[in-house]
Amino acid sequence: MATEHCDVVVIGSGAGGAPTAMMLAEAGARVVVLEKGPYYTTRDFTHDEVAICRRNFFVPHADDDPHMLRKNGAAEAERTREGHTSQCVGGATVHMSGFTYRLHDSDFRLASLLGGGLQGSTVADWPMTLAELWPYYDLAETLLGVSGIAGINPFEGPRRPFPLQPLRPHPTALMVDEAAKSLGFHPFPTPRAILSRAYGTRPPCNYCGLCGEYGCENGSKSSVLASILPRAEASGRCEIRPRAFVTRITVDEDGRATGVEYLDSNEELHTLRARVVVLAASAIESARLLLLSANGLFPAGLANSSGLVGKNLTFSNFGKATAIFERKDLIAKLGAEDMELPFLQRSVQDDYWMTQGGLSLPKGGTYNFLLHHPNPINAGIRLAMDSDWSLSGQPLKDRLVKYFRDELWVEFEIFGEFLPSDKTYVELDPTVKDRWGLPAARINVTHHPADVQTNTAMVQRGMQILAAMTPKATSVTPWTWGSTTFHLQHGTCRFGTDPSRSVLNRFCEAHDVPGLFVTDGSFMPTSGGVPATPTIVANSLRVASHIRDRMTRREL
Amino acid sequence: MLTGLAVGAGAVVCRKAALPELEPERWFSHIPADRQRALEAAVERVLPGAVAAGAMAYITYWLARPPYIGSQKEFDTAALILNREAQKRYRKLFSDLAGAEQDAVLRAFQVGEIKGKHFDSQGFWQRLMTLTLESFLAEPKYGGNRNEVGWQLIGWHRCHFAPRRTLSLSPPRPKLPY
Repeated sequence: MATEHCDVVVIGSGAGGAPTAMMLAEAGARVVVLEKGPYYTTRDFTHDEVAICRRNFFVPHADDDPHMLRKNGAAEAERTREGHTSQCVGGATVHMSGFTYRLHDSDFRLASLLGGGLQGSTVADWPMTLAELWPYYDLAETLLGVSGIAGINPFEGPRRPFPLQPLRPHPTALMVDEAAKSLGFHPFPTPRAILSRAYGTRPPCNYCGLCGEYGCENGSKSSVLASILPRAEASGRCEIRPRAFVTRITVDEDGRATGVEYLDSNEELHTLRARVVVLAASAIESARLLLLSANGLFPAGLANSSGLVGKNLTFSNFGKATAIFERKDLIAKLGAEDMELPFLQRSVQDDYWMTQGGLSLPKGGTYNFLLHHPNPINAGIRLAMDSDWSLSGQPLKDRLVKYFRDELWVEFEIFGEFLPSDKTYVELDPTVKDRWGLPAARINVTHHPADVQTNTAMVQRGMQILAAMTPKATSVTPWTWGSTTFHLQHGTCRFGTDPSRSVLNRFCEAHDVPGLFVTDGSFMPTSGGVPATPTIVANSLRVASHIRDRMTRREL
Repeated sequence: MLTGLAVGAGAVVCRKAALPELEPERWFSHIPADRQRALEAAVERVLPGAVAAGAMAYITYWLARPPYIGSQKEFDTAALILNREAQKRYRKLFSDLAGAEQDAVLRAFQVGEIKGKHFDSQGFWQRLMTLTLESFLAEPKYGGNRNEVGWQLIGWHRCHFAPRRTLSLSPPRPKLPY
């Protein structure tokens, strides 16, 4: 077993790991980033729907490296690949759609706003304010390259201009604007981690439309792989090791973090010693690694004296509805120009805090209007599923042609608050193991009734906008509400000031284990009403500046 | 198993991948010919034209690979049951039935009417539909969507999510200031 030394070891190279690695390497630290997945480059990113979206390009097969999932308190867990965000250098930012909203003030003090809490929920305030994170959002947007326009969304405070002007929208954005405004909503252009103009050495978006679920072959999507990691490597002090699976975080006899043990692609075990250990493997896998790292000092799992590692798991509360338009109607109103553009680019945050309706959870979230994902196989299977698998033969073929030739599907999806509770958590599975022989993560998910209720109300409100669009849609159908976006995950190591009620302190260092920081979504006590990616990047930069200052003072 | 179909190798966006030469007699060659024909007929009922576009090569390819490795046996069993049901109802092989008769048998799969030990007919039907749709609309390098016939039918291009008849990159029109 070879032993090496470095200053900082970062576990995971996604939204949580990459910014810390970059900032500390640029500050002079020798950084090693250990990534479980492969190191893809733009050459690996194709439009092959089968390979990229439907097999194991980003997430492993459930046979090899499973998650076990128990929904709604079921006795039996099913083997699944849900809950794996992505295993490759750059993490899930590589295949994200890149909706880059900031959190709102209400996200930081949800417990207080609910009058101290909510029956059946473990909701908690954050030990920091939006103002503290605000400058790091600015920095995150600059580093990533985010396009958008400031000053249109009245629910966001005064902010700096975006680094890039907004992307060119699909003409139906005009219809969403008209419909939403006629109902009193305030639509605004969706901020995107996609380049509308050349940015540094990266080219602008070519509007191919295959963003979400795909890697960008153009380098125009602002994944950390395209933006932050090249800068980290250019420092000359950051080494990224792909296919390195960390099996344990080690501590000394005083309980201080000393480094990690990991398996390389040849299944050889290595020991890496470091002054600082930064864990950012996704909320589920980070909690699993802490539980797997139990030792004599920490028999219940590393950093787990509170018993909260893996608890308070939250996802994003998902809801969706689809409006089907006839292309010829749209062209009659809007003209044929730009009808093939891929991004609708409109969002609405009026229901971020819902005063109407007497909901027990007035905290809603964000409506994101978009065109249906262009994947052809996905469309075919969606059409088959919508018919309960009864549509086949020539009618299926005709339907498929009609879908692509005559129709345009405008949808909204919701990023809603997912209330934390005792019933949603991650633990080690008692029997099922991954291919390395380590216990798999078992995910337990039960929605709090209040978040399903709020989400249902949101879907209905969003459908009013779709129904008010002119020319009229031939149908407006709710597709789902109160379901779960598994790749947006948070909360398993919530931060706080009280070591008995939180895992991390306000700088995301473990209360129990000095020198161990967690910088993925695990720190977030509540999910917020937007996708967390830009928040994770901003917080990672905040934590990194804290680590940098303490390392400079020789305190770490 | 088919060779010469290295997944991921040499697949460059917007460049046509080389089409592998597939030999039809190797599809499901481990089961009798009448059952091979039964499966072919079922695939053709799911999506007319799929067999000519290479669906059988595609399905053979993926049944040998994860996550479908476990389904090979299921497809073998299904082929047997297709003929058994056809015999029971019409005293013919499945591939010799008229289209409407074939649909009636397949409908029994879809609603889960057909029971068998360790055989889930609904699950099979969904996997058959999924793989057939995939074959017809996937990158041709896996053996299906031969000459991109599936893509031509729907107007899809591998470079873009829709045909670029009308895209201009002039500045946004005044109607939409942002």
